[in-house]
Amino acid sequence: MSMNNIVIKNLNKYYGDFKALSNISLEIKPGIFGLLGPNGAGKTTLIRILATLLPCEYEEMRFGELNWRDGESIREILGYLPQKFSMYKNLSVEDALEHIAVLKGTSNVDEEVNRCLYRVNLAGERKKKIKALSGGMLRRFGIAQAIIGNPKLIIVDEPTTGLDPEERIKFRNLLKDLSRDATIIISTHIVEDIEAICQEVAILDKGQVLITGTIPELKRTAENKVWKVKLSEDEYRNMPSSLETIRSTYTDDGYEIRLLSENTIKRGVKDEPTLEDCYLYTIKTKGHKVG
Amino acid sequence: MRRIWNCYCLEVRLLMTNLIYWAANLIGIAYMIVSMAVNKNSVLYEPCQTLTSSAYLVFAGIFAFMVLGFYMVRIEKANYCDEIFYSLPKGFSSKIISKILALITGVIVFTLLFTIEIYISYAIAKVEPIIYWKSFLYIILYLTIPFIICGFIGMLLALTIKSRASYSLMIILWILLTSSNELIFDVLGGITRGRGTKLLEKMAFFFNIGQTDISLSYQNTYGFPLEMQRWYIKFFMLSLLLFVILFLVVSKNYNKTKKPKILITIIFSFIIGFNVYGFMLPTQVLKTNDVSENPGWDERDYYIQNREANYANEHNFNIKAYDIKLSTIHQIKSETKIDYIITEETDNLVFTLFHGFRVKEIKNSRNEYLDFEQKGDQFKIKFNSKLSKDQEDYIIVKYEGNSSAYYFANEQSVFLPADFPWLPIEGSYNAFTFVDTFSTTILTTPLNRNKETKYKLQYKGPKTLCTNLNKVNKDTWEGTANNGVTLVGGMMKEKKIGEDTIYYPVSINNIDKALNEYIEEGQNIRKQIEKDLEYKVDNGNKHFFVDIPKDYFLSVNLLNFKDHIIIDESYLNNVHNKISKEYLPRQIINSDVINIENYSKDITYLLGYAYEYWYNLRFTNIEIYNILEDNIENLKQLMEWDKEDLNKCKQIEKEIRIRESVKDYIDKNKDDEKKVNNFLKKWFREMKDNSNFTSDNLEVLLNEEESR
Repeated sequence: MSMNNIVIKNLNKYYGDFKALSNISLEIKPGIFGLLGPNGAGKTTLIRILATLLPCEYEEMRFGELNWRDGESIREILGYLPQKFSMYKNLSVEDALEHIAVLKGTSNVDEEVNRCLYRVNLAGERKKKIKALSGGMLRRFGIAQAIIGNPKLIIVDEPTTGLDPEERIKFRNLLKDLSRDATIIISTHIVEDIEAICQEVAILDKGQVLITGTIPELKRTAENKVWKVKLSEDEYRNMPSSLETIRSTYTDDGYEIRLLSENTIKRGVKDEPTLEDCYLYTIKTKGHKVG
Repeated sequence: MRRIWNCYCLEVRLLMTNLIYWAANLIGIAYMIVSMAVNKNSVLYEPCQTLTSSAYLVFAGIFAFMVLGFYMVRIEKANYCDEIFYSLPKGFSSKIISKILALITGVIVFTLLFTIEIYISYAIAKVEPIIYWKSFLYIILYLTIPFIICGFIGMLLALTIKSRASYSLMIILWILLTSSNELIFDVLGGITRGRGTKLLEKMAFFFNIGQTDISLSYQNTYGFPLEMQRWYIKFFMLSLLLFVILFLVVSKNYNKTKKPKILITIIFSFIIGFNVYGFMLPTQVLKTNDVSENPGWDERDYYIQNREANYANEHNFNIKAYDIKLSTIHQIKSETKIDYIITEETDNLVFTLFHGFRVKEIKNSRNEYLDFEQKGDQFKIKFNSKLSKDQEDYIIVKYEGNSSAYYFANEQSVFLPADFPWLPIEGSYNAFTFVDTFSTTILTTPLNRNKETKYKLQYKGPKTLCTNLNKVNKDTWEGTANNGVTLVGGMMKEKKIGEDTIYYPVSINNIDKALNEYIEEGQNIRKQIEKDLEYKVDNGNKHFFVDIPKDYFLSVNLLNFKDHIIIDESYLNNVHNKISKEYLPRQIINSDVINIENYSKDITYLLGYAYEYWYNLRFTNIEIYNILEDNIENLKQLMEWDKEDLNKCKQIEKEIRIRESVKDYIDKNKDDEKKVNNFLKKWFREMKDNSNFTSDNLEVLLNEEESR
């Protein structure tokens, strides 16, 4: 167990009688860790707990020697970008970052703000008011504020939601870049994002961790369960609804269908599982058990 | 500190660029400008009224600043950045503390603009410097602190209640924290069927952080209501709210660390404890409503229950001298040495002292404690042996307590007239009399002793003190008086006109001409009365213009104690800078006829009405000042209201008949001045000689005069 790992043991979170998170145990190594799960799985709750915004019950929760029982010590090394994010509308990008830099206790505010603006490619927009930023710029601004003060732990919740493909790729690259100096926890329901940048993943559903591991490990759980089959248009229309279709692509010869199945599919060819296959397989099998 | 300062600067920047904040500020300032423009005379002649009329502004401001406090905490939520700040080190605490400071700044900016506006109006009206200072305190007590309190409440709501219920709660709290909370407590009073009314009244007073009565006009004698208790209540609320907010902040920031929580709890326990201690001190007289128009209900209830004095009146001693040590800070505390002479052998002495003052101890000249018994407005000292006739000695009486809602005495203001037993006087009387005739009311018993007595007074209380005694040094007054000592302390001013000294409230502005006119016209009226009724009007040369509590029908607006008179300040019509001389004749007559024996009889006042009618018929415009006709109309109205009470109607009918007869007699003989004067003269003398003079006696007198 490395001293730089984040260790969570038996974390539970209740909202009244409702158990939002149940017995969450994770060990997060330095790098980028992905939290994957459908809407309502408890990802944001877990993220907010990690960001010291929500209290919860747990057996152990620490980052190296820092403990979540002392919220202030975690906040000292934390950069956080929530799912829904903006800033005071009439403040300029520069002023807003300066304000956060001071709050983070940064010693050389101007230099740090400059560094972050260049890092997220917003230097040209420094005088722009927050209300004038596009969605992509606002997300980059969000990352800029999160990385002020070189935090050791960066937590981002659904960071690419609403971004166009180009912005999304830029954003992933930025996170990859940042992961050299910090542990990043990213929560999303977009499998592609996780697959592109994360080393390790946990899949959450209904408040429980269904599976956790590296991406190849996770992929292996769906080995021999993914089938590819070519169907004519008639066959496609009459396909039984019990079959778990992952993807269907229209080709010159009809439809190419990708299926999840424990059993052999007639005319089907086994395919290499992707993280999305594993995710769907895990939700389908383990998620149902949880439910 | 750097964090808090940076947050504070940002919060102030956000506030100062907030259009709604400035719109609210401008509306407030514009309201005052418009109200000053509409009431130009008020600005010039009743400058303090201009300030107290801001009560409506305070009423609205309490809600506005509550919303502002709420908005300031919710602004991060509205801008989707709350989670960012609250996940920063000391982010939550820095933000909330800076918001508290920014809110205070916002309130100060508003009250500063308001103060400048008021001060400009004062400069135009050329008011006395003391008014600037008292107004400053008033603004702090009724604008700055309440706005900060409700701003804090708004913040607390935003911090603790996430649902929309907070909006409804803000409206409920707005009602609770203003004078409209009487609605809530009236409903509660209805539910409890009148039980616990006093407690409900106290609660209504406690929770109201604005002016006690939004429509209450400025009380010239009492001044701005700035009593200590009001400060304690507001500082209590302020510190409690601050404690709760800071505790929340600390709990959130250091959720597992006890040290900061303990530290905050200890500090605020001291602050809150101090304020609670101040609030729990024995209650002083709080002039919470316009008692000059509505008699204090406490007194009314008390004297309905206690109509008779508790001991027989034995006239067995006379007081020769008083040596008084008096403090009116918070409530009255007195140590009074009383020199007496026994006029009839006795083993006990009965004194009259208002029941609000509790006697703590009595010692004799040998420094021995004396047994005494205090019941209501009297206390009786029991001696072990007989006191023989002509024996002279002294006692020292220590007493303390609250004066009446009519006659107040606290650190704010003092008005203790000579006929109110704030000093122990010989005999057994009630301080007030409940009069259950056709005009049910309670009246001050005119305890005019008419005995030459020496006084020495050492006084600690509101400056400036005006009294019929002569000032010896900074805190000491001495003199001889026949009918007691009047004390008027607070925002008073002195003016000498010839031999006369006039004491009047500082807040009555631009009144020089009216005061001169009062002296001149007053002398003319007195001379005319002396000529018409052939008696010497003696009222000394000290005139106190104060706000005399008035009863509905039997208004007593002039009290004559021979060496000084107290006259209601409403006679000074400072808007027109003149004296309302038309009402003076009645008051001068009444003040001479009324005595303790005939005080409660309505007939006593009729002479005043009759003479005033007669005077105005000759010297002023009777169409405007027809007091006798007004009085008859009032009685008719009263009869209409009480038409189901046949006995009362019969009594009122008789009163109307006699008034009409008097008026007819004067009208009929108005060209024969001698005849009318003769009739009034006889009536006056008979009343002075016969304390049992009734309507029947007057009817007989009228018939005799008619038949001549």
